[in-house]
Amino acid sequence: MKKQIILILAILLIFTGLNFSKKRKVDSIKFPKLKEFNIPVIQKASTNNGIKIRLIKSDKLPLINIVAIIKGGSIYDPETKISLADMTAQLLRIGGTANMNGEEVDAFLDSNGITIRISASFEYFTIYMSCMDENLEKGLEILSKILMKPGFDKNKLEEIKTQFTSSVQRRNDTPQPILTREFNKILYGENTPFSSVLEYEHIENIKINDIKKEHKMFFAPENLLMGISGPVKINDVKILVEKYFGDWKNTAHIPPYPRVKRVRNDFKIALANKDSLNQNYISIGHIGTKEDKKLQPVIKVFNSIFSQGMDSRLFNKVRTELGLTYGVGGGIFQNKLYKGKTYFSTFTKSESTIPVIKAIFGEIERIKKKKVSEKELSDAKNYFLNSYVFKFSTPEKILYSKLSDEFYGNDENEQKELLKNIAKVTADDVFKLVQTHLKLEKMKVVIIGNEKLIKGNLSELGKIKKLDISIKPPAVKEIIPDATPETLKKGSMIIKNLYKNKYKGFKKIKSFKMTYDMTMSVRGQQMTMGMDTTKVYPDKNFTEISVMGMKFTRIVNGKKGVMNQMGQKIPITEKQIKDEQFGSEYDMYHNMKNYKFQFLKEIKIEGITYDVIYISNADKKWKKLYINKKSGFIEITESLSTQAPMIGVIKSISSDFKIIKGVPFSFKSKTIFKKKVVRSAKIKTIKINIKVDNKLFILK
Amino acid sequence: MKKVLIIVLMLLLISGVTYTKDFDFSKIKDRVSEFTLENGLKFILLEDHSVPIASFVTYVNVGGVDEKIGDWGIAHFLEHMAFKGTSEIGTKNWKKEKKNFAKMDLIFSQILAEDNKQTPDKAKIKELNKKLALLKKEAAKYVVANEFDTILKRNGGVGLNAGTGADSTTYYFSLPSNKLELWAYLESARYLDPAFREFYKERDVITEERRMRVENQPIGKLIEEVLGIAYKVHPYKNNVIGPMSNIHHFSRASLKRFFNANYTGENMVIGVTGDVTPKQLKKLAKKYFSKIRKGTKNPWHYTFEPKQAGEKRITIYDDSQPFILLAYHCPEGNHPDFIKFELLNYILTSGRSSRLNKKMVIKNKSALAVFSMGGFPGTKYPNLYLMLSLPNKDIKSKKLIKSMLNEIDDLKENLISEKELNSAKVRMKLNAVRGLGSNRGLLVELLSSEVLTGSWENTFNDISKIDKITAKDIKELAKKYLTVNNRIIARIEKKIKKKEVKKEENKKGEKK
Repeated sequence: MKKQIILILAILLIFTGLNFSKKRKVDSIKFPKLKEFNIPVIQKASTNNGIKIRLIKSDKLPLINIVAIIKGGSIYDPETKISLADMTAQLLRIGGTANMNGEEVDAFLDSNGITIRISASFEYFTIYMSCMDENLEKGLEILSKILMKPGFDKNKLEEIKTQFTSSVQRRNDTPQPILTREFNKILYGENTPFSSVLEYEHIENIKINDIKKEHKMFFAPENLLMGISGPVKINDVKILVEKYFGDWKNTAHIPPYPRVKRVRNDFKIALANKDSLNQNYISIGHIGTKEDKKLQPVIKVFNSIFSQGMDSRLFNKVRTELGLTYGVGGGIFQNKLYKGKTYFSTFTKSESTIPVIKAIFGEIERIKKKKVSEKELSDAKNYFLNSYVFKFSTPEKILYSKLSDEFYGNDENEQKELLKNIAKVTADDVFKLVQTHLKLEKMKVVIIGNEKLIKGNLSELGKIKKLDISIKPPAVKEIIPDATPETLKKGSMIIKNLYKNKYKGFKKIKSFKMTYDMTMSVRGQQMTMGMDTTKVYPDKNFTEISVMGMKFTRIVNGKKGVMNQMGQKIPITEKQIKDEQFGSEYDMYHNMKNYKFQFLKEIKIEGITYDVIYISNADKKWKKLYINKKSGFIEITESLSTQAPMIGVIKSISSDFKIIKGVPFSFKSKTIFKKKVVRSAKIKTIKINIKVDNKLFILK
Repeated sequence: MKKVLIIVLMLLLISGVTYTKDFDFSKIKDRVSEFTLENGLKFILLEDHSVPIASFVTYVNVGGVDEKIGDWGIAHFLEHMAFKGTSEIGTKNWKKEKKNFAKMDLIFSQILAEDNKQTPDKAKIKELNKKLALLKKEAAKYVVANEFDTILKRNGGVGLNAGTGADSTTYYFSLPSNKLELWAYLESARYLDPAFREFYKERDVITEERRMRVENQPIGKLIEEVLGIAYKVHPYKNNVIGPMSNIHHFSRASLKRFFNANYTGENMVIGVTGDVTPKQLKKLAKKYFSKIRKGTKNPWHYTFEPKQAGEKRITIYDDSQPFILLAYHCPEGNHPDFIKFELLNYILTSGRSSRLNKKMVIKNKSALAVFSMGGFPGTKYPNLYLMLSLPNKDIKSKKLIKSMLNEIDDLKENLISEKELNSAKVRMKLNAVRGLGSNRGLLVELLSSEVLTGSWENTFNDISKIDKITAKDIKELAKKYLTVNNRIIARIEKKIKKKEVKKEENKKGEKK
């Protein structure tokens, strides 16, 4: 059976000409009516266990293409196991089957010219298969084994994890993905399915059993919608699918859709600095709404006029008129099942960041103040009506659009209805839309680029938040048990006792001056530096470092600090200073309320018994202290280093304690990273509560 | 690229284990027709009447390779200007606009004259730029922005775009087939009557494009450097977008000169595919395209790259994780060895059972991804065979380079098995058949065959060549081209502190 396209198109060719004094050639060309044509019909079948098959016959080439979709995807990833869907998809493909290992599957596919790809996107898994028509049965057979009885090879999971780990490490190499990621985090809030970011710890968290569960939860026949195109008959396909997938039992259990939560941000602009760039990447927008069928036609028309295509208002303004970008786009986007985004994106040389943002804001203001012109309206509408025929340009296109409609439960006539309604959109409709859906005051601006090169004062646009895009180091593998009132009480007690005994001098200490030698080990080479530190509590520190006949100074004064190094001044950030103070004996004593002290365990190492206390603060910073029960000294600490090249857990071991005026100093200490001593220190001289000239700490 | 089809055709004819059916290529060939206008402009039509749509490709035989040093980037600049309308499209008042152009160009020529001095008078340039800015403002008054695009869009046009490569410049879009005459008018008008409008603004757009593609993409930077060192004298040295300084120095007159020399009947081929008959096309082609000047086809270059005397290496330190690129000089697309490089891709990097994937990605997990390709930056002249890889976290680039070189050595020392060879051929076949599914893809193949080999029909010839590729051929190929002296090893490394770079340099110095 064949259906004929309804030619609404011809009725709707309302073209409002430009007012030119003489008629131009381009306006005088007469076009014949668009020819009527047959749209290939999609045939349907289902297997007994519920696999839906949709087929479009196409005899042009001896080639079969299968695209199957399975509800699931990264939207369902658990918060601590981001990429579970992705890893599952990949492991299915490469992890072998019950009776073939991964390499055997690869070799079979490659030597038979069968391509199979399995991937996870946000809302579904996609399975793609392509082969010569005569290999269809071979292809379906192996595909059924892959989907129904996967091998779940642990070694292959390691291969995938290695790849994912590398991709985390590479995620800041180019600006565009950083922008997308950070923009989503700001619009949807952090750690939501709509803004999730893969971290090393998620990769660690995912185990083979998680993959098995994920597979069971989604990969099931009644959750499978299979589209086929090629020179085959629906009955032949049905018989084959029944033959190889017929035994598949339904196990699917699809969780409810997560909701988008309200987010409040008190800033207008978020900026991540990347020095290596000379072009800044910008997104401007706010959270949008769920799909509203009545608004869809108006949105399509608005997007076409305002921000899509090479003659939209934004394109005409920012690229053509101002010459400030190569590309600009965006629009109002609604999703079927969750709130979409309203946003506009572009990139420009770092210097012109502010003019570009202002130009986009200006265009938003303009379209909110004045209705779009009749010409703009008819141009946009005619575009949709006249280009409608391209939806049928290939059988695959027809099939895929059908699959998508079916997946989202769209009506059969949805596309045609949409087109009819586009024809009815008025300038008033667009005007109403922009009043309710474009909210300047709600819009956030996210910039990834070179902050120093920006000309002008960015803060005139609103409050700025600096984004930290650094990659979170892998988490500690040891799992810290949840704190209980008992363990917290015991922890606090042990710490308080410290300050009653060996550490009591911290009540009174005002300052000290100390000289010591520090030896660093870098790639098997050692380098010793002479250190001269003057410290005035609580927050001043001056250190002179002598190495190979050169002298550097490092000064910290309050929240600011600077490192002077061969004529270069490197600022020390507030965060660095805070990190250094965290867990120091002085800070713990004087700011005890900022800490949680959790008693973990008693442990014996080389004959010495330690109390292990896990200290943490509201920022989730942590440190483990090993207190020698007998001597009462903190002899070992473990903490997380985030400074390259040491990213991970570092361990410090202190020994040779001497108590000076009630304050214990370890005369020998070493720092261990990945089982290697990376640093060791020896105190040479020390004086406590000396007089210090405060000029020493002037940041210069 | 262009050879892919040949391979397909060929493979389809092999009575292999996996494919035994005959595929009737005469069916495809029968859909192709051609004619040439008196001005030398050739049209190639690939018919398909199943849906009332048509796609159009104009293939101009000019690219980065045809530019002299001072002109680097001009072919691409010109491509941008082809969207800027005509004396009729995109203007509110062409007469006034033209006068304004003349004024602007005069000022700009004064700026250039001053700027080209050894010690330019900067104050004078500033003054002139102010004048130019005023005129630019006036110019904007006459412009109907992007009207070329608007006209196409409202008529249902989709896929309007263009591309400039080392070998060619192509322009394309699609329309419902009842709008064939609109295509004929617009496409001919932009070559017969180009306005070169908004020249001084588009220049800035192109600088943004360069920043995006090259300066803010670590890989973009690396590729530019590789071309720069791989070639000493051949114009493939030129990165198509051109250096920033050139983009700023082109004048409207220089663009016009370049346009007049290259956009001629003899130097262009036009392809149409879709619901169009030869009769319809011929009629409109004559009516609209006959006035394009005959001109001449761009000649073959006489400057060829001399044999590389030794290995070349380059390392870029950037704010990016490592990236490795090996490049080997390989012959032009028409050379019988070129097709063997295409097959080599399937042996080395395409598919999970390919050699580099198996060893580096799967077995020792040292690479995140591997990739290879021939025909870079073009196929018209001898070019580069590229092998790329991304080291996994904590894997040293040196280790990865060594693995890649080991694989190459293995190719030179040992014959690949028949099984492996056939597997590679099968995969190549499948990919290429997929390519046949796209009318426009096939049309572009036909056009490039026409220009680069003299006839589109060559796309369907030479079929037996691939059949004859043997394991021994691959070994010989590796021995002949994949040599130390013939290669460039390029990489990106994560930027480290200045001190450490110095240290490493010192170390290298000591070794010497």
